[in-house]
Amino acid sequence: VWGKFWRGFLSVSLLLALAGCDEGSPSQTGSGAGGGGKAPDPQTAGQASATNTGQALAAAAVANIGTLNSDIGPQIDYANRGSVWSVDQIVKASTGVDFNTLSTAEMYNELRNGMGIAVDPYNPPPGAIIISPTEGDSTGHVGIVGNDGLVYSNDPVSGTWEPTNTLAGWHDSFDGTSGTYAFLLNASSLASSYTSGAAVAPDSSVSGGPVGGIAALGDPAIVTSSTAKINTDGDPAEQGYDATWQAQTSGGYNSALTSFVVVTKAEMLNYGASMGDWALVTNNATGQQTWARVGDVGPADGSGEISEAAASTVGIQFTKSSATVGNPSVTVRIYPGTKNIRSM
Amino acid sequence: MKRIALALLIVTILSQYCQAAKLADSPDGKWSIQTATQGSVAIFSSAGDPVIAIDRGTTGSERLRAKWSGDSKSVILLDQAPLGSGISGAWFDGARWHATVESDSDLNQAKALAKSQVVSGEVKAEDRELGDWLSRDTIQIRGSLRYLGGEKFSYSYDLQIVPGSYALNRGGFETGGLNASNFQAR
Repeated sequence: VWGKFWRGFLSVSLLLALAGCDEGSPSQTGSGAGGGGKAPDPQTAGQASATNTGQALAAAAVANIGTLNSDIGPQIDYANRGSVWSVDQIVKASTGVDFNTLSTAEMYNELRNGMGIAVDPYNPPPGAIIISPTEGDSTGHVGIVGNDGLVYSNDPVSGTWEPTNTLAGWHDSFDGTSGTYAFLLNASSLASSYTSGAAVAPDSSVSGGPVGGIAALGDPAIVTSSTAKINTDGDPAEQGYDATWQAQTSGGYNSALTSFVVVTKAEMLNYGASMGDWALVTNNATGQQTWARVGDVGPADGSGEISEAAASTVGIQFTKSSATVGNPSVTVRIYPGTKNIRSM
Repeated sequence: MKRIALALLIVTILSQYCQAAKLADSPDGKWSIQTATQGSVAIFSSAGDPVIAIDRGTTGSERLRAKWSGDSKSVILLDQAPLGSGISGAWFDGARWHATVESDSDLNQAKALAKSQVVSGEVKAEDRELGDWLSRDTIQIRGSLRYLGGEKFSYSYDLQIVPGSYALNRGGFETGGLNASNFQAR
């Protein structure tokens, strides 16, 4: 009897514990009742990689709102055929994969023939490419599913990239005669798309700047010029000297080793900036520059905050307490949505 | 008894890793704030569908707090990282939800107040907490600034949701809709 009780108790306990699992790690409470989520399904390595790529695409879908426009001229019929072009631009910038087509039917064929992993079109994960191929008189469309469950695509009239549909709205509008399908990009197809054979995993290094140079980053969405401040987080040698020192940055960097800049929560939300995005730091007095990554979240007053490595590279001196020597100022340019662009 | 203790230990350990997805239900039960996928927090309908994202940047966050207004038409979310915080808000206009993010420039008023009390310098970290709803549309926020020299300044202010339709920014949030006032030292 004791053995049965023990086994039953343990089983129920484990089920109860797992029923509350979710992906979120921060402490989460609020004024209201708590609830549970689903335990994650087991994933293969390929599915996990595809999911990671999906996350990057979901972030890129948001980062491009209002900035990407497919009305670039007659080659895509002044945006009438811009949905494939728009998705291709985002996929290329985020993963290096080029569908090299302006046709929803051809893109669909590429996805189902190895470039994609089919997922449920009625419950696609973030970053899934949702596509309704053109067939006959039924005009197709393609978009990317965001973290918020909305579908992002180009407005065929204005060409602007924006949240255009709920999932239900998409199915109502585009299922047509050919139906709607959803895919995550296949990680193995990504790997083969790099002629260098380089891994697809995000590259957090800075070294020589982004592959493709500054042109690959587009315009910086965040530009600040202010007094330089030094973030020493992640540098064990600073423990005990900097009153607000943290063992880790949000981006996982060591301040002494990696050039990074600090963003605020509001900048992350309003501009779509995220850890690992590219940044450019300029010493306003000397013009010295260094490439950097977005590496930590700081106070709302945090503009101009850079790592020890970034400060040293642009010739800014600082004390052990993280105070700068003199009154140096820097211009920080941040390029949201670029974290997956590798360094040279 | 050893087996029960072991089971309780396992449950306790798992609970540390498995946080509830739901942060807060609205008083009328029609809505809830839930963590969605990969660093996103959204308002969900009672049917379980996400209706609008109110946070997409929880990477590095250590604390999420949400508070609903009494009429269930407004909600404020605090996202606290080790060195800085962000506040977003949402309101329901009867037809749809709107979401916005509090401007970083609001902190300048807290810094000015600190300076008037001879606390100044480089702000190295700041944290905030959600206080009580003071009225249907205004909630009290309490915060503290930590300076390079080790000083700390504690303050509070009122944050009012001003319903309307504002321009969408690059991140997909409306720009406007939150008004900070009545900054006080505490």
